[in-house]
Amino acid sequence: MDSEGYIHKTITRVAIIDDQPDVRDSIAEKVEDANFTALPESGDMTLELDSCIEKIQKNANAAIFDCHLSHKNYATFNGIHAIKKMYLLLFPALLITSYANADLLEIQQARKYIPIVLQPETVSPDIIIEGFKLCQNEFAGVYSPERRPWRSLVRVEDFTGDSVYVVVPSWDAREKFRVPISMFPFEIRNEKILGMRFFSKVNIGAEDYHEVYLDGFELVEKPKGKYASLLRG
Amino acid sequence: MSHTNIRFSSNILKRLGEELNPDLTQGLIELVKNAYDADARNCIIELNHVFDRQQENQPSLFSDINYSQIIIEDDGNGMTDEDISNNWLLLGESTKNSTQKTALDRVPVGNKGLGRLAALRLGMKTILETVSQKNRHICYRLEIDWTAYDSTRVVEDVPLQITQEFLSEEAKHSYTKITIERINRTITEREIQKFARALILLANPFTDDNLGFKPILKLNQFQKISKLVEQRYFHEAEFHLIATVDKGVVSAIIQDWKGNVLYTAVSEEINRTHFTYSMPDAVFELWIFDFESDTFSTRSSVKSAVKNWLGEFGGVHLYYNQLRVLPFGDRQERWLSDSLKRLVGDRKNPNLIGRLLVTDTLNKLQQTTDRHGFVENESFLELKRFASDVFDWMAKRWQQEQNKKTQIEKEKLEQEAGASKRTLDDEVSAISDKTVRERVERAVQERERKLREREEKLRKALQLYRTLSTTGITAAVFAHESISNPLKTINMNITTIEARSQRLLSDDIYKSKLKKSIERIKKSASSLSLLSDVALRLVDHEKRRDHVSVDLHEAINQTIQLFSSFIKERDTTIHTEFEKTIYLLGSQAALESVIVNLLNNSLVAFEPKPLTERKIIIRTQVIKYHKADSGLGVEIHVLDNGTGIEGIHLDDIWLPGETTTSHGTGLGLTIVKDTIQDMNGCVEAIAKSEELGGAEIIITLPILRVAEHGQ
Repeated sequence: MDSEGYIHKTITRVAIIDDQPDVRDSIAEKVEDANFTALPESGDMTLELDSCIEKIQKNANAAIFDCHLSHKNYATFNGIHAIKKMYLLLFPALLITSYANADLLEIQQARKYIPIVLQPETVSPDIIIEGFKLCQNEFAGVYSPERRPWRSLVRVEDFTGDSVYVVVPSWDAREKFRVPISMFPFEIRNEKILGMRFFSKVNIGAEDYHEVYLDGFELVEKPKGKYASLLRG
Repeated sequence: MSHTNIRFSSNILKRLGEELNPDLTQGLIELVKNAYDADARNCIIELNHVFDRQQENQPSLFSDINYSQIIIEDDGNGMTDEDISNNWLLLGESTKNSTQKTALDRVPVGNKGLGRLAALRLGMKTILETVSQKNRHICYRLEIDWTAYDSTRVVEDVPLQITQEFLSEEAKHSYTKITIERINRTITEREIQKFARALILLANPFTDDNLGFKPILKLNQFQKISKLVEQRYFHEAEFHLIATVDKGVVSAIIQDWKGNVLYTAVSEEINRTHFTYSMPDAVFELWIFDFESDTFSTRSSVKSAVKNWLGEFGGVHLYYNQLRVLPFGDRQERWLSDSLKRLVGDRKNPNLIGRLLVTDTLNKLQQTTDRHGFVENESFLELKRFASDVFDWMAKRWQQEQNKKTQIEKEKLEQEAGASKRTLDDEVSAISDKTVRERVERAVQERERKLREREEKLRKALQLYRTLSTTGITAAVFAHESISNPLKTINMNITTIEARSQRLLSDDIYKSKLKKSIERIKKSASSLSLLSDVALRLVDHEKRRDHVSVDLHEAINQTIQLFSSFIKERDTTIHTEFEKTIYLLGSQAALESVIVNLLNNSLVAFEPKPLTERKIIIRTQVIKYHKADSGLGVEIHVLDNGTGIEGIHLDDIWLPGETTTSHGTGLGLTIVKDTIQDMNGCVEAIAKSEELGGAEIIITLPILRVAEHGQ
């Protein structure tokens, strides 16, 4: 099917990809309550990601993924990668996770492609419907205020090896948050990055730093000349 | 139509020279590398009248601009007039091609032709004199007067002339001599030391199979340092690591100082990813010295001499196609510093020396234009990954060896203790006076009993530490498991039941029969989530980063936040009184463990006492503190209105295993004290404070820096 077709397609069948059968069936009930047909994927996810996506697209017109899918060799990929790919194919897909600390960095890296992260404690049929709508709107270029990107200044404050702490003054001048180093251009993934400033597309309407995404990096030159110290100060 | 072309301002020469090689060492080393590329065996550098102060035994070297000069002469292939015009004077391009080796089988290392510009421009005039091996009857000469460029707009406007002199007698060998005259600046003692070190290290002086290339600086300092490098103390190293990468696959061995192989590793043990190293072939050798070890005293070398040698040449040097690349291995360079830290801790002078020999005939690594290091492309990052992985493997093996040594020492101590016991028994039984002998025997037995008791107590404390660590690990695993499956299922199903029963049942039935039960399950699930979350957050890897600047108040607030549900559940309020923003040196995990243990103690102290208001105050105060580099310390007061410290001597509360409650571990305050001492601070306790009547713990820690609020 032509990808464009998903933008405003009515969603009827939702694939559920989760390596824990109980959790998978629990999500299925929520999906049913939202008046969709739930298609819990009980196996056969061991193919390469692309083949699995093809299979999902054939049977369903939306999907919900858990973050980790490796339990009992359920799948060879994780939910974050899958959702990113599906977003690029304009196929509505939602992530459901408990926000375990260990996953935060990976989610943050792909956050641009994850319009909403569902949490098991709060997920409801309405939120699922809302989530799919958010995806479809973004595919059509319509962003919610929390997701709309603005060109913003990003300052690197700390470097820990695999991650950096940044401040986005136009989002919150006082809050430092952690992002993976792998988001930055290859040649500055080292201590040199400390103190650097970038312009990046940031959804500065995000309420929590978990929801902030940074897209693209354009290096900002340090102010030069006679009045530079005033500018830096 | 008229034709034109881009021209370059004379200024560009100055800028390129100054900006690309601002450092004297770097500039001159580039000229020496040119000599290497020309297959020279000798290269002599002479510095006259350029020093900012009198040099030892060489008074003529004191600075005088009129006589100042730098001469670099090599016995390489030399150049013809064509070579001079087409290569030497063509900046930015080089005919040197590293895929093609020279006649002496060397891979050319200098390139871009820009490197030498800085050095050439050190003076007002540069004279090039050369005899090519192609025709040793002609000597070519070129003079560049750099001041001429100051008065012209465009580089090409200054004409240069190559003159030739026919030699009646054929020159003994080809050569190139560059004389830089009227030096613009003086050279400091430190610069010359640095240059001498760089020159010595340039052509890998650590092995006998050198390249037949010996650059020499005509200076006393050089002779001293040159002699020092010849003292190869490699054989005194405790461990010698040799790791090689061949077509991306790594293998390594570690030998002891006698050359016996202690460990060998195949690729998977070092490279933990599925990807082979995408980098040129390399050999990494590392020598680690253990001056603490008893074994060193049996060696032939004097410890101080080896330390001195390591102090001068230590570090991990990088040799690219046989020649060293600056600044890797320099004292201030932080190359591989994280990996080094894993191996030798925070020691300022690590007792190791290493060299990483990279053979790159395909130009995978690219030196930066300023010739300082490499462009951080994939090959370079892979090279760093390789070095770092090897360091990790080495660190593990080093730890293994240290553990072995500890075990041997322990066994030795036990043997010695047994022997001294036997001696004591013999001496006692030799006492002839029966009454005295019996008295001594009783005293000895009593002492042994006490020693055994103390040993038993320590063993129990150690066992408790281990048990608690295991409990912690298990709690973290359970927490992860419960969040990932059962809690998810409970949470989702209870909300489904809630929504469906609201839809399917009448409002009255739902409210009277189901609502309360559903809410109780939701509340309990939420408490369970919090418990799991606390366990996971306490073991967050990021918090264990040590020796970093930690915001004290932020750490305290985060800990309180983490425990907020417990604190609320126990009807307790915490008041914090913080001035300013205080930064300490340590890890967030360390501060967290101190605060958690103190809060736990306070919560326990509330239990036996019915209180209307359970209160904890955490107050910080900046004080003068002699142990801190900043001269400032912080006093952290943690006090509560609990029962206070009762039923135990105040000095004993810090001892492991000492507790006043039946379910206490007796380790909380021991951990507090150990942690605070590790952070160079101290801790004391008041049994019942005047202010709240319960216990008060006062911690003093050195401050790294203080900022006013909002800074």
